[in-house]
Amino acid sequence: MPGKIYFKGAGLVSAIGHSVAETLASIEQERYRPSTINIEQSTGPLTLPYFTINQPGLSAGVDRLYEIIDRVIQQALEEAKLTTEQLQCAGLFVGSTSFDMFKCEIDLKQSSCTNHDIASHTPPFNRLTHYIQKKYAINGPVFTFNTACTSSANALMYAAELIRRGDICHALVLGLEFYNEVTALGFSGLSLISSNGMRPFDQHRDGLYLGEACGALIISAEPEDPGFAYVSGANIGDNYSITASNPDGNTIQTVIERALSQAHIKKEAISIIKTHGTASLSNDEAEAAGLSRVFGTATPPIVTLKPFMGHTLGACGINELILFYSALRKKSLITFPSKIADEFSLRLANRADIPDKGYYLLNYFGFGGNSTALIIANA
Amino acid sequence: MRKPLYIYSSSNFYHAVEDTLPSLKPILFAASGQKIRRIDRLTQLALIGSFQCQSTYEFAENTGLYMSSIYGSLNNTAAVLAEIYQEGQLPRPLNFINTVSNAACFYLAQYLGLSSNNQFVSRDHFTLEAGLKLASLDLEIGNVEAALVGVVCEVGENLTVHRQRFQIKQQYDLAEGSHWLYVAHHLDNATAIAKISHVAEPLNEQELDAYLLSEVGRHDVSTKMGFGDAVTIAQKEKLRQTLAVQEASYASQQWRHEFTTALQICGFLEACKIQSTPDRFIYLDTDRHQRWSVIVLDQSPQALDIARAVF
Repeated sequence: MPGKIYFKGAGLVSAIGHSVAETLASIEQERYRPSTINIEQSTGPLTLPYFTINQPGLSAGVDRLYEIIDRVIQQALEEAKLTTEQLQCAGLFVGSTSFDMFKCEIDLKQSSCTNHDIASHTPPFNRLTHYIQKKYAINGPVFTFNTACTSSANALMYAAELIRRGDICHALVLGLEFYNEVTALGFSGLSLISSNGMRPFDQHRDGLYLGEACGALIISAEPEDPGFAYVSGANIGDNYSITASNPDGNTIQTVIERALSQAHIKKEAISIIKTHGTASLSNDEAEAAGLSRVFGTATPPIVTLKPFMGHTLGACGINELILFYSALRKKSLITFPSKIADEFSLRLANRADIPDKGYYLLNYFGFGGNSTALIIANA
Repeated sequence: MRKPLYIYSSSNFYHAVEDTLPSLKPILFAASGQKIRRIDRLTQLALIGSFQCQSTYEFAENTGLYMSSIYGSLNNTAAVLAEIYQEGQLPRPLNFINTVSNAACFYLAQYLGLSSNNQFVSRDHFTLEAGLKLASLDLEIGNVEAALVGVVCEVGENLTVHRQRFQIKQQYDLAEGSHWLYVAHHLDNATAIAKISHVAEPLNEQELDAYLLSEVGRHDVSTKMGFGDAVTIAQKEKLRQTLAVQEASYASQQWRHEFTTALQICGFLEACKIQSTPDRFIYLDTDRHQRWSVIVLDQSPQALDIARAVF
């Protein structure tokens, strides 16, 4: 079995809490409803649900992005108790879908919006990464991943492998997704936004809610007992469709089996599955089919997290991982209470499913067919 | 990098952009033999280069794909922004999806028949090195049998803005393209052009000196060194003294853009096919934080034998 890579500290700011503890408390107290946003269109305003971060004390403009990033990094650093020297030698791994598109939109709205203005403001990938690298004086290797909804899951996977290989001792892994109109309108144009509530695997599911959130995770090979750790990860591209996983579940089966193989564990060792669960008709169908192919009729119980803080796209890899293991650590299980459709042989996890020590599978699938499965464990 | 990576195929597709962006459709058709529609310019550039790389070598089924770029899809993102902020419309679905850079990876995997790891990574410096590092990790773990590693660069339609924004001086041509390396630790019955003996980054100056002296100080081969655009004259001189080897450039000095590293590497690979003395190329680059990257390439014995037999 490969050496475990331990979760040393985590930070999270979401629409429902400006820390991991607050986000968990909001879920436990059933305080999770999306805001409503209005975007002007030539045909009139478009109104959409969106889990936006409206925390007191945050700036209204572009500075809010940096303030949120700083908050989550500070939270992670405090918990990890990393020294300045350790942080300087760490690697930085960032995953996002839209980076700071929000800044580009603000700049454009303050311009005449000519072709020249647009060409001048298309957002670069690395501006936020550079900010973090410079502010926290990180001198280790830096990677920015842009693989849609698997971005930060992939960032974690490679960060862990670089630690395992001995290239770095620590890594700071971030998932970033901030509100922007391009994403909201793009998903609306694809008819992927739910009109009556996000309910993964439910027979009445009709799409997702988007959310902005930012998560930071510090990982290291130094043992943490008790604690949670990364065990393995696998990634493959699904060539079936640019917007949907192969509905027969074949690709999802392959990526899960690769993650299990790399972890050197049998499928029976998985206690609970954190599904990707976007509540779209085809992707839930594909995920259920993939799970059925791997686990047959003995699929471990599942949890779905996106209805609580929205689909945070490229950041969901880190955000949902943090939320999931933090809840398990408290022996408090969180999953959205969808009424699972009859055609899926899936069961929602409950508190009795949490073992003292166990392995957990986390699924992530994105546009462009990018598919990632992670396995974590209680140390 | 624990084990060297052998390069079995490469491609070096690029062109200058003078007054306007040239159409890529005929070039893509020539490279692929297919009429491929509904893809953006970044994907077109990536496909042309990767088809050219595949034309000389049949890729293994379990080949990972590692694409890197500094800016991603400039023109498609601009089109989406125009749809929203000039026309007041929803973005066209395919344009929106293509704003995610791994959309280009999807098309590459689909058209090249790849069904393994699939990554898009961005950096402002050491861009090719980022892809090589991810590929070397997956190869060492055994996740993939081989890796297609490439850098893609697209010029924005507004050339004046592109030049200003990316600080490209007037004396240099704008250029775009994609460069690919097909690498593995070992492939049966295959002839490697060269091996990548070392990829190390990021290093500070002390680490660079120590690394160069301990890792690359061989004198039994004809060694040359090349430099990235950001390396100053003084730094070059110091490095030449440290290594006591001559400078060589395998890329035209006319180009100044994000893929200089790839141009140099691919230029060396072309030279490997005709050089009849064993050759080593040490490529050094630096970034804005004065961190360094080192790539060391060695002509493969098989390529040397072939070159000796021909020339």
